[in-house]
Amino acid sequence: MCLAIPARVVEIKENDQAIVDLGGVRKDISLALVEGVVVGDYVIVHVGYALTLLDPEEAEKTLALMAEAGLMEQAVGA
Amino acid sequence: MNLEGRIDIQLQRHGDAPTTVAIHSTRPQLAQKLLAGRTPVEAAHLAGLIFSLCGKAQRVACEAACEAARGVFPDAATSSARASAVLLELAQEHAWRLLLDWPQQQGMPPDQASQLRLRQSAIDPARFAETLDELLRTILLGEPAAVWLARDLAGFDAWRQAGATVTARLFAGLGEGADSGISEVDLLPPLGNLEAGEARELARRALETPAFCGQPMWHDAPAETGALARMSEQPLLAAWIERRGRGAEARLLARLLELAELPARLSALCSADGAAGATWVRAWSLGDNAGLAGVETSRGLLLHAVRLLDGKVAEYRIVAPTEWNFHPAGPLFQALSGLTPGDDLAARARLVAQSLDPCVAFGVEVTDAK
Repeated sequence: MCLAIPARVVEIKENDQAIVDLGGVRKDISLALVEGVVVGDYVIVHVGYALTLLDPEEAEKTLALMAEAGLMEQAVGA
Repeated sequence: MNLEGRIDIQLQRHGDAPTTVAIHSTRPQLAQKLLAGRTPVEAAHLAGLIFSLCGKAQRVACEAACEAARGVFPDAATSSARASAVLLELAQEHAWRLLLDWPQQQGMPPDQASQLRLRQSAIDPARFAETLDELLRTILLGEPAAVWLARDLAGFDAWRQAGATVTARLFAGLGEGADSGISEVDLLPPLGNLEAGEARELARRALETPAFCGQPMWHDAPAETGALARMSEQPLLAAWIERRGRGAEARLLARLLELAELPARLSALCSADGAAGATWVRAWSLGDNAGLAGVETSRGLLLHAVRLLDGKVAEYRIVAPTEWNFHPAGPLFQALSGLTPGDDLAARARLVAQSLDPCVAFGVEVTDAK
């Protein structure tokens, strides 16, 4: 993945696995490379791994900004 | 349609005749759309936020390009700090390929614990250099980096045959014949060797012709960038290329060699003045409120060109490494055109594309000519 679209963690499963919501699309990812993630947190996902735990305010700002630039409709349609 | 775009690779077999190759990218050029009208501070923050794989490199490139547009250059401490941020990111991307992706492709478990240790140490460059040095000695090479780096081609072959580490066994699995996916396309010079006139010409074309950013050319021809281009004169890699060709395996070796050199390079950055940083981050003032910055990333050279107007971004162009390496007539095209048409063509093509490591998803489709 090239663009850092904030993904919201909606469910945490066994073995560091989790489900994230990425602009309305649900994806299975691994939490093996970040620590202390809880449901509701925003993370940046890179080829199946959550990489960065985001400050919620920063995440909302990024999402708003991407929407403002007309990027999110395309992302949701992906 | 995906927001990030993707790369589609189509191969057509014609019996025993060479395979026809078509590479099509839908990667959008987002820089102008996202950054125009912003102040340099906002633009740098945004660039770092939006591009996840190389966020540090994007942020540094934006800061350096906007400063150069204003005719300002950073002090030695800032230069060193930027170069180490860029190097830490580059090292983690290289490690990702070697510790996670490559084992997984070969059906072995990825080493997430080592990758996590590296990530956690990245809060401090000195600690990162120590952690990387230890991972090289224990997990990747099985001996001190300096000892391993002194090996010649026979020494390297002995190392991989002995198979003391997963990495050594992965290299042993490549065999000793000719490399696969060989490209003779020119190598882009490492950033440190780029002439001012050449840098200006790249910036001029990027700013005047937005399409140039999607299919960049070096002296009117495609070129390869990345660890291979930066490390091509390293003696072991040069010997490999001369004996076995410049292909997918040479690119994997270049990555490991560059990673093995990084602890020493990071230490040099921490102790030296700003000059050592110019290998990794450079900027040029272009006059008329325009500036260019170059940053070396894991995948290759990243260029940012900007023109400011009344203190805000008027024009912004990014030329990313994926556009050089996946140019429709570039290194990947040549590498794939040389593959023999066999049943496992799609799998071999995927390995070659992975060796050039695109920053977006890609797909390979093989058809037979009627």
